[in-house]
Amino acid sequence: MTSRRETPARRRAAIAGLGLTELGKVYGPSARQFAAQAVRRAADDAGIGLSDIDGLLVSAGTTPGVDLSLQVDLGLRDLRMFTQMQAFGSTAGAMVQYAAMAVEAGMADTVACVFADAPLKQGKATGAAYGGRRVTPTGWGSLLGSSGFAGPNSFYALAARRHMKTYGTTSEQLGAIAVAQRAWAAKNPLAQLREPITLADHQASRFIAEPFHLLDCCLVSNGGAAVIVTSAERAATMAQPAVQVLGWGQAHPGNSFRRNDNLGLVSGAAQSGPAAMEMAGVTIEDIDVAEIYDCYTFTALLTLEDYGFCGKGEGGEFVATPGMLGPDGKLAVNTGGGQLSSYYLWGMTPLSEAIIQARGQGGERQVPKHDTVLVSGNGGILDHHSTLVLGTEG
Amino acid sequence: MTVRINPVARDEESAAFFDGTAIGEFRLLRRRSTGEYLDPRTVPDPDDDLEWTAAAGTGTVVSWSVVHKRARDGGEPERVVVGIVELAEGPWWWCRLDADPDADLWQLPVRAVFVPSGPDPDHEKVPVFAPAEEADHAR
Repeated sequence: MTSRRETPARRRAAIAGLGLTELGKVYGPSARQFAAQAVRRAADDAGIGLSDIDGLLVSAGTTPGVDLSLQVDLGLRDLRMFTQMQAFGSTAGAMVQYAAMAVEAGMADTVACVFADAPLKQGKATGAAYGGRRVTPTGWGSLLGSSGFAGPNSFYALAARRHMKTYGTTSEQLGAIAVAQRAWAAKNPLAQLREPITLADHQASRFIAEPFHLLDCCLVSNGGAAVIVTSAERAATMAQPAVQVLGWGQAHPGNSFRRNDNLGLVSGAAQSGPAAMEMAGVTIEDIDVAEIYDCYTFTALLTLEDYGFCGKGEGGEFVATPGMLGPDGKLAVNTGGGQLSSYYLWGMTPLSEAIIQARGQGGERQVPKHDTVLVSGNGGILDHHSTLVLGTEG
Repeated sequence: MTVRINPVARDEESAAFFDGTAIGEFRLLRRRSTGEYLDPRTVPDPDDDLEWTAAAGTGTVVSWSVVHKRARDGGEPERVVVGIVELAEGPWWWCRLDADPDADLWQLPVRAVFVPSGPDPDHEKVPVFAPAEEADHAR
């Protein structure tokens, strides 16, 4: 297979704009308003007008309103491509993939991809943010909730426990990820949580769903993020350093959870990561920065394993190796603090930080070498994965 | 039985399963042609030759989690043990475990017990899995 690095640049897609709204406990704007604001900011960032956008991909989180009405909200006329997408946390990466294909096929020239969500309500506990989605207590849908399962926390906890019991992964090893990412967040003005934490803090934080402590779990945030995808040729003429989309992959393993499967042991990252790197013509050794989806510490650990940064089952030992993670560590992972400490915008969290790093705009947290950046998205209970390889080399 | 399950009512798709739990049976679907056991939630294909059948009600723990539910009055959180059980017939079942939250439950043999989910006539019995030794002892 010919890698994309060897194909002419004019056929490639690039990310030319990034727009982030205020993030975190930001009350007032609806998800729909965050979405429109993010697209406007992304266009401003790229140095283009809204009227230059001829393709739009929209994705909502848990709150409604981020849908096809966005075209009218933004006053966009004569779009050539416009779709609402949903693959949960893998959506942002997937949106960039479809946008890149549309640009390369000539279907659209300038595609905005946007995600927004506003689950937090003022005066309501963060933990109750998703409480409005309970199913009615009848039939199959009611059994888990009635039996004590508490949404994604308990599902991912079961996945993590299986990894721990199978490979000997420990809570302290998971904690190493939380500590390292908080150290990065301390350098990120966008991050919601910037106070440094220690492994002891991780261990002492209250249990949510054993084996997960509070500090194993991601934040809940309000806000929106958008990116502008165009041709590499056009991106080179725009306001920001172009970030090329060198390779991508998706994997949807189809875990049924109804019979012996890979839950907690192997995720779709094992397929989508190598596929994306092969398309980009790079190997794991070429990756300068990895922005890994981290709805939980465990998700980051499993994805690092599945991408091949270490052997299967060795993720715990790997992330806890002194000098591996964190600022000045050997491996630059989740350099903005990720969803554990920075902000939670599903796949837009790793993607936005990847763009910032690739452009060299990370300020105090900027990684010196940032030519090749790996980005993962993970959705459902390890059901859906998207991988991007971004680059700034010609 | 100390486990409390919140009320569950049947619907059309789950009726045959709850008919089973009412009489102490854990029912699975079985494909007559192959003998394969399927999850009771399997959406039947009109061309398929599925039948309801009583399973052994035994299995082993694949994984477990202790969910901490914060008390409304600020007291000690309730610790609820949930898990995945691989049934003797093969399918996985995600359920409440009536087990010591501090114990290592890895690959523990378990057996189904059927717990009323509420006081009303339409509140179904729900299978909960307990350590097989204890469940057998309680019989």
